[in-house]
Amino acid sequence: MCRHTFILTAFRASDNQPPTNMATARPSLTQLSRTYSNSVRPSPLHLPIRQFSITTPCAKGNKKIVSKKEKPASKPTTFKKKVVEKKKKTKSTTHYPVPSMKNAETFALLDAMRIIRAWEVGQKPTSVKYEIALRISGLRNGPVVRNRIRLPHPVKTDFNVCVICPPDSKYAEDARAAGAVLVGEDEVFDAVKDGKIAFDRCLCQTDSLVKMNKSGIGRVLGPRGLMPSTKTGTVVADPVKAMRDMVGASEYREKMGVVRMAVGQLGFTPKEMQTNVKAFIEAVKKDIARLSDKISKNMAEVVLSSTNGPGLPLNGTFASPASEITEADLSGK
Amino acid sequence: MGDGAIILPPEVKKIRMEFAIARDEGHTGPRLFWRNELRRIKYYNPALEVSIARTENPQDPALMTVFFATTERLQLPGPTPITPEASASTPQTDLTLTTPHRTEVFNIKNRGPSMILAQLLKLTNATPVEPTEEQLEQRESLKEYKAQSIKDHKRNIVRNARLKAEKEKEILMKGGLPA
Repeated sequence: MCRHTFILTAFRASDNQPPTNMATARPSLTQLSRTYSNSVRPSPLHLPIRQFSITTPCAKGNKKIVSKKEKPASKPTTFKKKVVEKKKKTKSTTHYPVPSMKNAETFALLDAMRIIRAWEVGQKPTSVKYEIALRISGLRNGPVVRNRIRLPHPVKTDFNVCVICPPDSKYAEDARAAGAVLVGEDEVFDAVKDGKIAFDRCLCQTDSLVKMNKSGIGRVLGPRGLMPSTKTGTVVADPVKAMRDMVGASEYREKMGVVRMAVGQLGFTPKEMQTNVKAFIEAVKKDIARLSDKISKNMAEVVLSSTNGPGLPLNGTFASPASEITEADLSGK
Repeated sequence: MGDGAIILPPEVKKIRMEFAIARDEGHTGPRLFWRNELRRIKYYNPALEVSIARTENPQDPALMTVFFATTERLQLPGPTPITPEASASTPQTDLTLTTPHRTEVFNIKNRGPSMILAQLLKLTNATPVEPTEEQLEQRESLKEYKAQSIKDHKRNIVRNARLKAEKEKEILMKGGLPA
């Protein structure tokens, strides 16, 4: 027996298989001694460790095993339920809820105006505005209805307009004649830097654009939303034309499925209101039609309200046959 | 229906109220009258012109001015006006009516809404609007609704208190601090 095998066997001793690359079939001395010692070696203590643990009483009985068995059984069912709920939720949130309009009380325009005028009694007829809230049913997210409109009877006409243009140009003269409060270049910049802002709208002629951008008035006007820019359409070639367009034009936009806009002053006559409301609804209808074909939006409800007044759903008629109210009654202050 | 549901005679063209913005010094009544009764008056008399001027100083007088068309002056039945026209208290700028008219002014300071209404009724000889059966029914149903809502509210208070106690108990069982 060579030394080589001895080492090998010493390595292989831990395995129970007989070494295959041994020179002889007989076991070596060391192997014998090992097998012997193995059989004599006392078996390790097979006492459960739990016996000495403090938490043993908790783990006693079959409780734990039962719960383990139960859990996997109950898990899939809950998972399935969750999936079902989620599907339902997503389905309902894609569209605005459509409440039943069966029992909704609706009013003719004259009746609604009568109630609102009674509610707004004693208020200034020019400061109180009629408002329309157009509820739109359809897709919750996606493109929104948004546009500008010039009502037949403008709600707000008294804008103070500032025009930035070369002071000795033809535009300046025309703008002054059209009723602009402030006209010029340097005088405007100085006034703005001094904090004297006595206008609600600011227009800029294209020739003065570079000068205006250099002057640094954007720091003052920007936060107020008055800074002229091509994006908002306030940098124009002809300021007078833009001024004319601006008077009476108002913006509307869909928010949470409702388009709101002021459509009249409290002092308006019913006929004026009728034309205004019609114009507004037609404009929104066109906007809805302009959206892509895949999106179906409908007007669900038209509600007339006022600055402090209640909201009254309209039924589309001018006068209801039941009431004796006349147009003349609602035309006064 | 309700206080202020009156139909004024056609010769009453305009009502003007003057009172302070502040509610003290007896200016509460006029304000409440404006908020409740005057709205109903305007509803039943839609052609009536109403203007309100509110002053800063609560020491100012609170007045109600009623404008009558003069042609019907002699036909006015009812009692004689309480106070004659006080031109000093009604500035010329307020007389917006183009037709000839006469005005009656009375004090509304330190007076409640019902008292002001009674004064107005006496002065103008207006006719109260009788509620229709439908309106009365509606009122009854509203009363029931309100009674039920009070009941439900009380029940809900008990329920909410119980739920809160349970929740706190649960938190304590878990070993956390109650909120």
